[in-house]
Amino acid sequence: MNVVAATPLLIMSGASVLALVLGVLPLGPRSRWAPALVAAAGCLATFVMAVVLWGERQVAFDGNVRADRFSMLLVMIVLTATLGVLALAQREPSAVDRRAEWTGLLMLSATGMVLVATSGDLITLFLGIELLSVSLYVLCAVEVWRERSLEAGLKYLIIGGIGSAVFVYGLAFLYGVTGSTRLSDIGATLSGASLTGEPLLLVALVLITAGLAFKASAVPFHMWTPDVYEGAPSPVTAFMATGTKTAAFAGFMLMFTGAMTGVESDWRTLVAAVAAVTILVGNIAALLQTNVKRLLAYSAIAQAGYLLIGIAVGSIQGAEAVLYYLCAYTAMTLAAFAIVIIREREVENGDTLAALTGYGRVRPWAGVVMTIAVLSLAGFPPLSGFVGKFLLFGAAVEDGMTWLAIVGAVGSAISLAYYLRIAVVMWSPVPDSEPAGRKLLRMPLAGAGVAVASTVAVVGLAIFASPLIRMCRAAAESLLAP
Amino acid sequence: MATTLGWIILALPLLGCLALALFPRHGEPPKGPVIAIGVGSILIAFVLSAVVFASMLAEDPSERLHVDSLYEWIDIGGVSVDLAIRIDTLSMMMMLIITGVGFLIHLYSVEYMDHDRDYRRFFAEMNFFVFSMLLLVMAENFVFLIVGWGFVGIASYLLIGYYYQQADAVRSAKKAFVMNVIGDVGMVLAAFLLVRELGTLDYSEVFARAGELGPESGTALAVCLLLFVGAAAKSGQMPLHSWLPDAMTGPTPVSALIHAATMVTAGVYLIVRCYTLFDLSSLAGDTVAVVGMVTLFLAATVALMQVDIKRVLAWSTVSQIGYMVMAAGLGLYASAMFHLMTHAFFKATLFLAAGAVIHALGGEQSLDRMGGLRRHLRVAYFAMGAGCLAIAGFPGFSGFFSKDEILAYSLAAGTLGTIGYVVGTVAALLTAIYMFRLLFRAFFGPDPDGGYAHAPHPSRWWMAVPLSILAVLAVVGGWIQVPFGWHLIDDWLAPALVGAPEISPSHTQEVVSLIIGSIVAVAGIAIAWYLFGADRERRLRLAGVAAGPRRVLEDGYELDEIYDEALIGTTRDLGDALTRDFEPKGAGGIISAPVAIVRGSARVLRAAESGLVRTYAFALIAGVGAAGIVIVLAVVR
Repeated sequence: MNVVAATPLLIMSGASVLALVLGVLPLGPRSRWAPALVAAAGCLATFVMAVVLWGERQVAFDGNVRADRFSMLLVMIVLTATLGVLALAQREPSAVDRRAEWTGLLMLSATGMVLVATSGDLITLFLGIELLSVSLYVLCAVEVWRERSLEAGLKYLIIGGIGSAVFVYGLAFLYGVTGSTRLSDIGATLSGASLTGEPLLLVALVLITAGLAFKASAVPFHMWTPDVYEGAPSPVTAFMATGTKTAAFAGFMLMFTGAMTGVESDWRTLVAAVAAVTILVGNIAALLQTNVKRLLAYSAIAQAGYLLIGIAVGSIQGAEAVLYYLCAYTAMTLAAFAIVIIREREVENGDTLAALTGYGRVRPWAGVVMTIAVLSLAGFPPLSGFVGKFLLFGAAVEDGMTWLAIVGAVGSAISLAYYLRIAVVMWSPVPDSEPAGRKLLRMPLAGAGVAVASTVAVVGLAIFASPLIRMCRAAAESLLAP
Repeated sequence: MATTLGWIILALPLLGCLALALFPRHGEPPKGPVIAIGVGSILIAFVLSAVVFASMLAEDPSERLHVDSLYEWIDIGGVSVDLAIRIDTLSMMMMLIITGVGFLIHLYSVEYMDHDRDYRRFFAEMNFFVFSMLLLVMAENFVFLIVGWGFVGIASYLLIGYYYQQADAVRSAKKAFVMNVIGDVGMVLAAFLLVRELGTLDYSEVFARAGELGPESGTALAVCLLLFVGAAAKSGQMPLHSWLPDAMTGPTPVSALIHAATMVTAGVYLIVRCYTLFDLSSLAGDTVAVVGMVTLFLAATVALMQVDIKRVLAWSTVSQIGYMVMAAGLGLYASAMFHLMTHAFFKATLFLAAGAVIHALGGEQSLDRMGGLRRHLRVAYFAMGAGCLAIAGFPGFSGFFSKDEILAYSLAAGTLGTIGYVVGTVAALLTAIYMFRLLFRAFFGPDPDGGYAHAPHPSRWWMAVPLSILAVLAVVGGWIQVPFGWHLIDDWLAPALVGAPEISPSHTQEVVSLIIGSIVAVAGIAIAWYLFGADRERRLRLAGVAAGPRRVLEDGYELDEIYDEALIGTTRDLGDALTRDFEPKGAGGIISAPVAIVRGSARVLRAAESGLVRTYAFALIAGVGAAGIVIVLAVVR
């Protein structure tokens, strides 16, 4: 049995458990950072293993877990997001006195994401999604003294339960049609036999699309997103916006671009319709938000719509674009959330637009970070968000879905209105009504580091787009490897 | 060597911008270094451009094309995009205009912005603009064209909203940005179509293989029209023009550089650059020409009624670019570029002279509170006079040659060209009237009632010298291309316009157009003198006659209001509906309602919660149903 392919998974699980156990041991106040350090070390070790395993596909546990270029690239994105969130949680009030649980749950959730990315079987895929979700239900509600946090957790749990039920129901139908839970077998069956238009398969497709779209917060399965994003502790929100989204799209690519590519004609209209509706509803609803976390929630919905374009296209080129955009999206989202989180610790209601007014004048570097992040999210050239959208829309045009590219371009144009509002607010003069002495804490180094590093990544991914696109290409191609 | 210098020319304004932006930030730095960096970088860029120009002059015309790639930026499945520049005769001409006029306007700003406390920010943003504009014209592929296109939009946005304390400046800045983004969408889609059809975005290859799109094909038409959406938005062509008059909230040097001389003419540059594509589709060319005609005429009528001195000039810019766009649409590419150049000279002169007036009067912009200024501001008076004569097409001045060339050549460009000639000539009459209305109302007659609150003071040499140089250019700039004499612009641009249709008027057409053009200019000036100069009361007596149409013109055909209703209003209502109604009520209301939180009423909250979750769950299931319907429809089809 080849365990090497499963090492990323094993290291992450080990680190999660160790971080949890550290909370029980009587270690004293000096070692309060131990769980976070263990988690970070685990992530780094996994990252190294991901680099080592980059190459031809290796399988472990009888093909339940696969390590290839595709899964390793996704693992790297997930780990980057996890490391960023660990750093952002440095002074997180919801983690005080419960750092071990907080970190442990975060790591468990990340483990679930790694499991999704490396899964080679419907069962492991579903297991990964459940693991990441259940940990997140708890993390959302971890700030027990705040009603909205509790509410976010409960809401996410109930709706998430329904979403999972729908998804697993769809998987069951798919098993019924193909007679196998192994992704590679499903792929072979679907492209071999002529199953196009088979009613059972259509039911499976609808349910699976709904389940994954729920995790990716695509319209009309998005309604939980604004409430949960707003209610959850901000680092958890940042983790959901980056990690969960990556995992959901890993699922999309494994299922649609990979396993079900043989019946592409059946699902591409459905996915394209979801993408179009998501782009329009997300962008328009974001226009009126005054809470930045809520605004970023709608923005995350809209971004899911752009990513879905790459799925709807169904080609390797589409998957390549999705992978590149996931890298860029993770960087810019982390940058934006880092600024919100830093501000939140300084003033009450720090997640409102009003709290950010004039912040760029007080802290110019924060203003620069936020401006670059939102411009990139809006797809402004030549930042990485632009390169990503260029690839996504380009893939759509090449595959004869020009209408979808137009919807995306129109959505981006609308989105500039609210993204730009954030940038303008950051640089407007500090309001006079401000109570005397705006509180400026000493900068949390870790948070500032995440903000700056993410911004560098946003710009760097654009400047050095070529090598990354080649990596994404290789990763996307390994999706179809037998 | 040309490309090496080209990279340096491109880098200089960027370095200037970075140096200014990263200046140690405590307090406002001393003005000396700011001026040296801000103005010096543009001066050196201009000198280097002149050097490149001289070296190109020495070359054989067919070799005046230099392309250099710094590195490969993106490579997607065979489509590679390089960071590359292209220096050919067309981009060289634009570079000279951008750095030359740009330098003079930077120099002028040294004094004009003297009282401003954000001196450094102003020059940093101006340098950034020059960099972006150079990138736009020097790009060798559509991607960096779009990048430069977006950058000039940002620079324009920043500088229109420079006086961010004023609410209307911020509003105008946003409006300009949003309307320009509409154009950007068009450009991006055009680029996608080119990738799909030709698999490349490099100018050289796209233009060499443009024929593969097929003459008069739908694809060629789509590409051209999408490009034109971008061009129209950037160049203030109807119906995307309304941001340009509002953009006058920026400082006057900004209006002169960005919203008159360079950025707003980028649309014309784009059409000329892509002439190979536009030649493929006569329908696209005709559309461009018609839009230009409509714009040049309507904007001229609106300019007649404006009271704000800068708004007169803004509408006149819209109208003059209309001439260039019409020319480009008719296939008169060299003529369009010729007018672009003279327009840069005389419109910059006019704006800077207006700026000298505004500066001298302490910010006064209304013609109603001006008069008799020629006694106070000699330099501004002469410059404004030269600019007005040039734009009105008075014989011998630069506008005479360039406008006449467009009109005379239109006569030779078929039926549509003849219509263009008539419209253009009538608009030329209006141009002479509205420009001399401005001159007579501001500089002639007595001082306004009650005198000047802020005694007019003549400008120092920082403003006077650039203004004088530009005024001289506005006078003599047209002699570079003289009918029946020499055609330096045509000859220079010929290598960049290989294969463009050759349209030239007969001798009769040329002579007729010259004579009519002269008569129109003189007649316009005479009418303006009759209405506004000779007897200042006559204007007021006539004002009551046509109050209705007058108001419509003052508001620029009230297009703004229509847009507000149709576009912004609808989007806002849709957004309202989505967030308030479609999104579950509690999303914005019940859960986060401050009242509920403040009361801490667990009962209310719990009731709301259960209701909400039920809604969400229902939506999820309904979504599954909807997805089912979609998939059935898709498969059945």
